[in-house]
Amino acid sequence: MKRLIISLFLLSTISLIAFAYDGMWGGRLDFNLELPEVMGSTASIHSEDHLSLWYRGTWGDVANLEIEGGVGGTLDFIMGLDTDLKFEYKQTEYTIYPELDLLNIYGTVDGWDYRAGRFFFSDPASLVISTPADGVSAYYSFGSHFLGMGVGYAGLTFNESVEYYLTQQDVKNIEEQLLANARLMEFLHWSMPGALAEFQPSVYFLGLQDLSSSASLAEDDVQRLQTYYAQAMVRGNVGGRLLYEVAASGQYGKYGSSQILAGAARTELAVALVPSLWLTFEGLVSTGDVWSDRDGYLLGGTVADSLNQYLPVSTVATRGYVVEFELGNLTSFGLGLNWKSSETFALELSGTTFLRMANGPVSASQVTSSSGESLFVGQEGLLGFYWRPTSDFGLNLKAGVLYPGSPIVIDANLKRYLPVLFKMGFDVSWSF
Amino acid sequence: MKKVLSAFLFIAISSSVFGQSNTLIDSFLELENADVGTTLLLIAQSAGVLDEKASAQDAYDWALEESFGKHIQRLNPEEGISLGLFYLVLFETYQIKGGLMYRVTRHPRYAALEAGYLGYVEPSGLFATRRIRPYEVLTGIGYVAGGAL
Repeated sequence: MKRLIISLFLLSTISLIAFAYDGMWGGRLDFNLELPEVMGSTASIHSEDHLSLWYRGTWGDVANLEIEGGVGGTLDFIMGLDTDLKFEYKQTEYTIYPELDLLNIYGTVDGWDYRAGRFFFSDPASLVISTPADGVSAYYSFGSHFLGMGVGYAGLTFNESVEYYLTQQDVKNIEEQLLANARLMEFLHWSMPGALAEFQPSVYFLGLQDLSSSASLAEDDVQRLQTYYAQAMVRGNVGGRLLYEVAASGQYGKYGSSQILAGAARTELAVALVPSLWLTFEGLVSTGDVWSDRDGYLLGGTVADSLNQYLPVSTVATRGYVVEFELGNLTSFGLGLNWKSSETFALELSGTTFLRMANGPVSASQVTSSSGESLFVGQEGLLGFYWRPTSDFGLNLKAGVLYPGSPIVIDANLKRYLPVLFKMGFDVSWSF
Repeated sequence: MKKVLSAFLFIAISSSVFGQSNTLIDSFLELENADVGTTLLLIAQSAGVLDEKASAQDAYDWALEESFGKHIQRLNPEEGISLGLFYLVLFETYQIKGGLMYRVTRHPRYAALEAGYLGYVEPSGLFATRRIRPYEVLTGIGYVAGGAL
């Protein structure tokens, strides 16, 4: 049935492209390389790359077509320690997966901006969701107000590229099935984007229902998750010298018979010391659970009747470069300097302190139940160079160091070589 | 809002970049789509390549001799000009460097993408083959000539 739906959708899309009045296509290649990626007793050179093509066709204001898709892949050159505790090459692992982020018809009818098909679901503060789904949305503006609503289905999206990240079944299914778990989502969004540059509020609601069969849930030892998010955010630009954003997101829901009540809040400030030099501050707080209340960061296995760890729907704005942390059970405070020396070059220097709210799981695999009770997770320093010589070509270089707190445990033999964790990497992007 | 700002920008600098009479611009603005001949004339005059007495045919003949002439020769001066071709002629005339792909290909598609990147064209209207409106020609010249002045 799913194949039939996908085939019909692709066929109708090709037909629509053929009859488009005006069309435009383009592509983008993103290449990334990072090292070392520490996993257990191994360290790897890790690359994550994407090649995507996009097309937009139009018949006027009423109907337009938008497509974006391609292939993504990861490549790992894995090294470990031999019996003499010397580094040796172990193996190469790679994955290749399809990506289809956009495939929709959009336009304006009687003042309503509509979109139908596959499009991105994202919340204004990037605390809940940032991933594609299939559905419909409609936005209407009246005065300076902007009201939107939509509904979407996740079960036809490609598992590996969309990164729905809620239960242990999601991780297991990435290895075993092409399409994501069946989930239904609804959102409601109000904002005033053009009222005042200094004060731009928005409110966002998202509901998510798990439509998986009871048999598949039981097979993977997970419960049915029904959850709801409510978010309020204000951002503004004060005189071009101060940018701020304050956001809070609450989560309520049911996981099997367990009740979820959680939240996350974030403040970001950027102050222009001189026009080309900005001082930035970011503070993030999100609730968590202790180890006795849940087995791991994602839902699954044994859980308590009452859960408090915040869990976004998909991988949203992660924190940290050397070790990437998802938002749940994480507190972080960061201070940075951004210097834009010319139109093509910028430099970033930042320091971030990571803590956890509760002596329980965070998203990083290096933190386990035997890691100790300390809430201090680590202190990171990051140096980044950003060079964009032309509009369609850019290159970033980053180097980060993480002084790990006691919750971060790495292999004892590996630790001889890594008293502090570090990571270097670069990204190249080329649009064509 | 952007269109309003663009119009102000155009009005503010039009006297310095166009040597053409208001009559011609008025009749040009009344067209549904910008024609090739007048568009080339306005670009050439704003850049000082042709004087104020030049005609649309003079501009067409000038364009045929330029690096973008191969794209022009397929069109009649009375035909509508596309977004991509307009920005190709504009960028070449004003010697705008553009992105990597534009520098290599000198193609209307990459000229349109560059115009989108620079914020001269709204994303919703960024189609290289789209026949553009006369006011888009004037604001486009205003943006580029404003930056070049």
